[in-house]
Amino acid sequence: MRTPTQILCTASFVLASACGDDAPGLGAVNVTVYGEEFIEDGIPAEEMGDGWAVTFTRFAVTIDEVTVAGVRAANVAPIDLAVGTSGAGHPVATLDVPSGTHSGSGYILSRAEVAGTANKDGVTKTFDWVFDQKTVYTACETSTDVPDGGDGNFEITVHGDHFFFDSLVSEEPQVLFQALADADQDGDGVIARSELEGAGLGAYDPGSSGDIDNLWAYLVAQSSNLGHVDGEGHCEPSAE
Amino acid sequence: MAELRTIYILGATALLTSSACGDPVEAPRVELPVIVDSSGVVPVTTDLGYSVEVTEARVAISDLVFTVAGEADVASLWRRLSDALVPRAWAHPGHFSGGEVTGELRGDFLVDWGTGNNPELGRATLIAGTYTAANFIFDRGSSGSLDASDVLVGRTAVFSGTAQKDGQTFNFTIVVESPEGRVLIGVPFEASVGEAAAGTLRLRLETQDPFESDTLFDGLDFASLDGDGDGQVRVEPGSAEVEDAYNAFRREFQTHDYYTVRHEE
Repeated sequence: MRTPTQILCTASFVLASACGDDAPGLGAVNVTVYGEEFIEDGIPAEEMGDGWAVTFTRFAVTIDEVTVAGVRAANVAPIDLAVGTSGAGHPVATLDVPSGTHSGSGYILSRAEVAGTANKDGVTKTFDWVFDQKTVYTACETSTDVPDGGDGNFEITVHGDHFFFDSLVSEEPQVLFQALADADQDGDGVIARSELEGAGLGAYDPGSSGDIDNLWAYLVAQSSNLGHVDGEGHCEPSAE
Repeated sequence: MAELRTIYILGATALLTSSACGDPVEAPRVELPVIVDSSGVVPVTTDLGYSVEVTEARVAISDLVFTVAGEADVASLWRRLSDALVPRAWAHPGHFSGGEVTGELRGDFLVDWGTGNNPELGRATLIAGTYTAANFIFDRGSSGSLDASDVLVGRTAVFSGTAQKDGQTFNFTIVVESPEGRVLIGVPFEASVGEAAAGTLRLRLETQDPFESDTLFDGLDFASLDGDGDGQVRVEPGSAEVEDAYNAFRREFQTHDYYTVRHEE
């Protein structure tokens, strides 16, 4: 049974909505995920600090719980970012949201399967790694404009070159591959996880915590830095 | 310049508090001197069995800040102010992971933990709160404040001392060059700083991790580093013979395991 106050409040809300004064309209947000040219086309030697060139044959990411304007998308199957899109990115979801400018978006990068080759001076190294720890990206540093009755865009941008940063904390790290190549202890051309687990960090800077002591742990930590939004926008990452 | 910045921040704190609440209320804050505390520089025995004594431990740092955990209202207020003044470091995990910055001692400092003199670095300004950590930047020594021949010019730290094992003594010097702007995050600083807090904040270098048994010199095999057998060991950047040892020491040096800040009333 409704009280008179509830009835009046409901009537006021309906009137306000009908007049269009305060009620927001509706629009849609097209969510995509994009690995940029570095993942789709590879990282050329001139972009690396030590002359290695890296090509990804597979860079499959599992993106979950994309949330824009408080609306959460249904989870989707893994998407291989190494498949070219000519800059368009891969579609993830379309969300119906209130029109307006939205911030505070986020998502979870649940898994990344990363395979590829690196070449330098006739030497080829291959890698095929799986990173299955979840990284939750929140408070992403972007705003998504959604016009009334129109579409906005929200791009999850994955930076594949971060795997090759020589520091977990520097603002201007070098992009290197030599240490990973050197981890191929048996010389079979395949950089295995077990070899990385047995490889020291060399000159790499793992940050202030002191709990990373091999190259595999370093790559795992670095994998939590891959996710961005709308190109270079940062989010606040945390382990789930 | 740093003092002006602090004054500006605190003035803005009062202004924002006033604007938000209607009444002019200034956020409680306190000034405490920061002391270089060398009591943590003690003889240690490393994992390789060397007895190490440090006679020199000089480190160039800048911008010591103090953080509280969580998203307390006053912390959020401080962040709004800080964001307005300095772009927030969003780049990677680790930055400001210890919490919100609500205290600071800005400036460039040459911290000498080897003398035992315990000089004052300066007076930090803190908003009253429960603190959990401190951060600072590993800097480079400047010829403006050091003799031009000082090994610390352009470098971050220099450690000297002796390492003894099996009747052998090695006199060592280790020179560290941290990456430009390298921030040390999460130095333990557990203290409840009230509005009426007094005493000092004591910035310590700990040659032995106070929470674990590791030492700052673990992994250094001084005998193998003494290539010519003269008992003199020098570890510094750019020397291929000692590259692994240098990298290992620099990593340890740049972790928060070997530093603490304590509030002593």
